[in-house]
Amino acid sequence: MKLLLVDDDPTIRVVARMALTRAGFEVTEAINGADALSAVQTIRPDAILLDWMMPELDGPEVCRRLKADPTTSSIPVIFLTARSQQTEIARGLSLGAAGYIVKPFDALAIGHEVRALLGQA
Amino acid sequence: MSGEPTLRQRVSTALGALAAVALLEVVLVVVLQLQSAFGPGVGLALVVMPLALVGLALAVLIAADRHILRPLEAMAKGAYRMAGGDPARLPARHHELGVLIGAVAELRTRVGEESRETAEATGRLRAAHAELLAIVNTVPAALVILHNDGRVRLQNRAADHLIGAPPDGAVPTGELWGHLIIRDKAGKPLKPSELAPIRALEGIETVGEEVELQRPEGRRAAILIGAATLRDYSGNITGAVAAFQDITRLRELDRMKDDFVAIVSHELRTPLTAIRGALQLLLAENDSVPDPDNRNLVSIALTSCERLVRIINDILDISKIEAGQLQLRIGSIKVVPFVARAVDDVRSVADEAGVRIAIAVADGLSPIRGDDDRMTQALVNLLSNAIKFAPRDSTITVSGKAKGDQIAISVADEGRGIAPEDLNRLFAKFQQLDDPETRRSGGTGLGLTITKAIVEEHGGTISVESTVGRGTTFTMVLPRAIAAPGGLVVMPGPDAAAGTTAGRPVVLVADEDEWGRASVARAMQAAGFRTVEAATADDTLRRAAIELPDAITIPFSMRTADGHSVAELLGQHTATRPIPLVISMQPSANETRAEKPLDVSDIVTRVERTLEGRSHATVLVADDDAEVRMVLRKTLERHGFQVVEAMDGKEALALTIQHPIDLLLLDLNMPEVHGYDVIRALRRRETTAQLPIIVLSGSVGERHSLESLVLGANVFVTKPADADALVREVDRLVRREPAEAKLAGVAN
Repeated sequence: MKLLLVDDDPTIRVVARMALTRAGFEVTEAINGADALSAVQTIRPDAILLDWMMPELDGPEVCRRLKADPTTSSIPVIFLTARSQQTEIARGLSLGAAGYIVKPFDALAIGHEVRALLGQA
Repeated sequence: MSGEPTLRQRVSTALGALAAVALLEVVLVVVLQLQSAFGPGVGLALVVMPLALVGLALAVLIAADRHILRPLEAMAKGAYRMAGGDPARLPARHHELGVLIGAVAELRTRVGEESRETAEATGRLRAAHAELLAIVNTVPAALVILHNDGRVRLQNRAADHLIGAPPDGAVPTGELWGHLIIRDKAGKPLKPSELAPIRALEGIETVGEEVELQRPEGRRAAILIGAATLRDYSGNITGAVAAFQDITRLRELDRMKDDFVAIVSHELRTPLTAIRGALQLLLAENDSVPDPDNRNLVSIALTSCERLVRIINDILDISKIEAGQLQLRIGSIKVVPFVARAVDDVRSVADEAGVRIAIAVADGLSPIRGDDDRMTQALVNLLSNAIKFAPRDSTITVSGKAKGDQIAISVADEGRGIAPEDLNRLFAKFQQLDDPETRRSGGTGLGLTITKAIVEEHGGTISVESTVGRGTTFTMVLPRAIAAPGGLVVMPGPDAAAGTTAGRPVVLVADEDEWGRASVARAMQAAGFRTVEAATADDTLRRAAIELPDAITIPFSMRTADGHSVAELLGQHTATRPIPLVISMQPSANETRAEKPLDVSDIVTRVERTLEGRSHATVLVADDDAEVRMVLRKTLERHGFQVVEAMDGKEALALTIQHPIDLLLLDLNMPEVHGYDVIRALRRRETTAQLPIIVLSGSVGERHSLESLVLGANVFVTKPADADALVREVDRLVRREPAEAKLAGVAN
């Protein structure tokens, strides 16, 4: 299963990639929102793990654009957010996200969480 | 008067001509003096009268009648009185004209004194005014005093700085502040007539109104305005005084605080995520850190990292509480499972500390009205706190009993107790009683503060009793769930979209009628469901999509504004289609409820039957560790599943043939037949090819999870598994098929 991992923080990308690869995913990284939007077109991931807070194009905006584009609207988006505020979570879900994973995530459980959110366990 | 020589005696010796000349001289002097003192008009007027009288007296002087001299004498005395002086001090001209001259001279002196006093008073007044202006100018708030026609009468330097100096002369107010853009807090521009100082001219006074003010050069300022009406003694409005306080810095500080919390939340969590993840991955495989000492070091780093995460969460909780943003999702909490859950949470810590936890909950206790997650957090805090202070081999007792109309939950330890003088400090922020042990055990000092805030937010109280040497008891007194009708109708806010608590099915109760909704919700809660409520058709669709409840109850008649039936619309969307609907036939509007009451228990039964698919599902637990089997059985049974146990792979395979099994929870490393072989065998068999399998393994390696999933397991979970997460998975896997089938039934 192909995952696109979008986070502007390289250390998070390394840890998340290792954890997700370990959990059996094929992981491609994108370093910001714009990168993510172009990578989606080339690699056609099965799901996108999207950081909430990024410079310029932030996570919610990327999600909004993905959902507005009929060629990408069906790809499930899972937010990676350091925030646990309910308003933001609700906003993320209202943008059409499949779910969210709160940072700091559990490296040993993240793969399981992703599968659970995608309903593909 | 008696000592005075009479005028008549003196006049008899005086010469008329001499007198006339002398008098004329006097008159001239007086006129000149009075003119210089009072100005020409007044001087003349003051002189005319005496002049006329003196002229008349001279004209008849030769006739020298005593009747003429007497008025002159009286006049002179009058002049003395007028001057208020003493005639004895006058130059010794011992004749009547001399007296008159003296009187006039005295008058002149007095007038001079009066005008000097007036000048002094004016000076003092000017000084006071300057002083007042200096004070007004020193005040950091901008002050403006307006005439009743809106012109500025006075404004201080701060006002010049803030809104610009008023141009010279009379400027109407509207024009005066025309160069500023003033908006209210919502950002709406205000018309001049809406400004507080102008309203004050109409008699409407303002205290502390916040506006935003934008100067022509673009500088924006947050301003607090107060304005008062000025009136004269008869109540007529004479003007207004307004004070503007620049609170831009204050607002900035506020924003900085929010930013800081956001930084704590994000910037600090991001590196922590990396550290925690890296350490977890390092420890995950035994061979990546083979040296025991090094493994120990990595464990210490991981433990400290977890602690840091806890501290950050606590700080965020506190700031949320202080900002009044703690959102509660109120439901009904059954006391026994609630206490058990909290105790489960701290079990491992208690075991490590060698502390036993005893549970003593009274029978038949009503549920608590509250937010399950937050109340669990509160009780876990109290338990963690008690474990910290409990000596080894002691017992902590959690008890629950009714207390009047409320429920009291207590946590009692057998620790050293707390000195009375320290008791009231307990709930303060960052307060740890001076004790090296606490520091060592890693408290944040925020736990009790958060607990108290949570309890109080629920309308409860928390108290503490302690006896030094005997132990400490914390008691939370909380409201009961079943209260007066309507007491439970708590609509969760639109933000309550965060996940649902595992194992407790969520029912969305939709009804336009408040009474109907409340009764169904109350009955659902009493039957152990969590409820979410919706009052309109649109709200129902929205909440169904956000909350993804386990079931929805709607009245048959419920339609959206354009007439579409809610049931139909729910069926059209992928996300809401699988949710089973229970449609109630409700009394129509013209029937009274007493005649045909809503059959609440029927709705509950139908919801229960609809969700039966999962509550009666059978889970096969295959693990060679008896203790693990026992824990899993307990957990699953608590959530309504039937549990069958297998102690190895061979038995597991046998049982799947004998029993109708809905799901398999499988350990990998088992004697006889390995977990992998169980999966292989089950997938080959037609009857079990679709059987949901969750692999629960202590071996975390990537290889194991990958292998299991490749072989056909649905989920790989590492031990120790989070009970809630596990139940959620079991629940989801078991329910997927039946939920779809049920909708088809409803749609027909």
